[in-house]
Amino acid sequence: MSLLIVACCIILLVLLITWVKLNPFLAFLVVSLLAGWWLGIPVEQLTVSVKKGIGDMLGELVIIICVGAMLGKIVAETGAAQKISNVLMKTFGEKYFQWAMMVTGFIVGIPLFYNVGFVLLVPLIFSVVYQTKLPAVYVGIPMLAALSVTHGFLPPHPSPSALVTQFHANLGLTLLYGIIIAIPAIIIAGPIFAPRP
Amino acid sequence: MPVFLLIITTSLPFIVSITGPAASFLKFIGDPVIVMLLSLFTATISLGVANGHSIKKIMDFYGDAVKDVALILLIVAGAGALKQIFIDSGVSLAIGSILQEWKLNPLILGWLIAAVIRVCLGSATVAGLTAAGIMAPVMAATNTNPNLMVLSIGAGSLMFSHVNDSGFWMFKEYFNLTVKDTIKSWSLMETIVAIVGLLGVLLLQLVVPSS
Repeated sequence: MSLLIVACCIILLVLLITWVKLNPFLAFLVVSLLAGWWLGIPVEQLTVSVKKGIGDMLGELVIIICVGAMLGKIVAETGAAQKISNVLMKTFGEKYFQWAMMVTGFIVGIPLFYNVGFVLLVPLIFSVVYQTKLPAVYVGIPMLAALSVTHGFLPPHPSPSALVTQFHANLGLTLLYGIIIAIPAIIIAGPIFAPRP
Repeated sequence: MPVFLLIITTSLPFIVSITGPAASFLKFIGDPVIVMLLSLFTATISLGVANGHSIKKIMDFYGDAVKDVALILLIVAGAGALKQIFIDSGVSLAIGSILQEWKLNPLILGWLIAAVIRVCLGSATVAGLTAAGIMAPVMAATNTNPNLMVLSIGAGSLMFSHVNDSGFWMFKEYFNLTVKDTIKSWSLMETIVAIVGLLGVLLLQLVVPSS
């Protein structure tokens, strides 16, 4: 029975976010209160649980996420990312530029948040497209694969950091294992998968 | 110069925390909070001040950066609230015991839950955090390596990005593609990442000790 309630709550959460287009934070609050009531938590305790959950989560994460965002911003604003990619393009040469794009995405992706990294790297992709006259998707996929993987696997990105906290995992070890797994994932999804023109 | 700095600051977290269990000072320095602060401090000086930006301008960058992540922080907080409700009501334990009877590798289970929520919901962050709330009691009961669990759920949360994910639309718009071509390139790429990620986790499980 309780499993069914959880399933209903998750479906409700999905519907609230996708169909009603509710702000995800509000959707979580609404569903949390409803789920608590439905699962038999005394009404007067509901807000206590919600506040404790929020406090514990933010207490652990607010510094890492905010400082991480600041770090990403300064790397972006000062043009450091551009310089990294120039150096890599020279090292890898024209022939292996896909690998250069991939490594750039990976190095830039570790400190930068996904949206920041995306917006920052897209002009770079198009400058390469302009130089080489190759299709944009072919040039862009390796870099964006790298960016996606860092976003999904590696702290200090918000989601993996939060998971590390929840499971009492070791941030350093997770990062190490994450990099080991990320490399084949990026190579397969990037240079190997990207359709050749 | 910024190239090296970035490589050092990004590799610092795991170098320090791996070698640092002995001395408590190293532990303090190795705490992710301190590592992040030190990295930010270094970057502020070497990338910001050294390039001739005023402190005020740098702080304006930082203010903007926090605005960019404000909603993500709130979503994470909301997921925390739901998790706490699941814990306080005892339902987490119930789910945990049911899922354990499935005799499925918890790493695969975590990946699967994250992937299902991701495909339904679109947001990788929400999918990952919700899956984590469900898997936490299972983790406690089995001795699964928590680091691998993070990665397994992380991989699952990237599964098949499609029309309900903002990343999908960003890619489509910037690259000027049709929805069909975006699915063939972007969505497929995300799916490959998710599946290879899970395989990588399962292979790593063979070599690293469980918790």
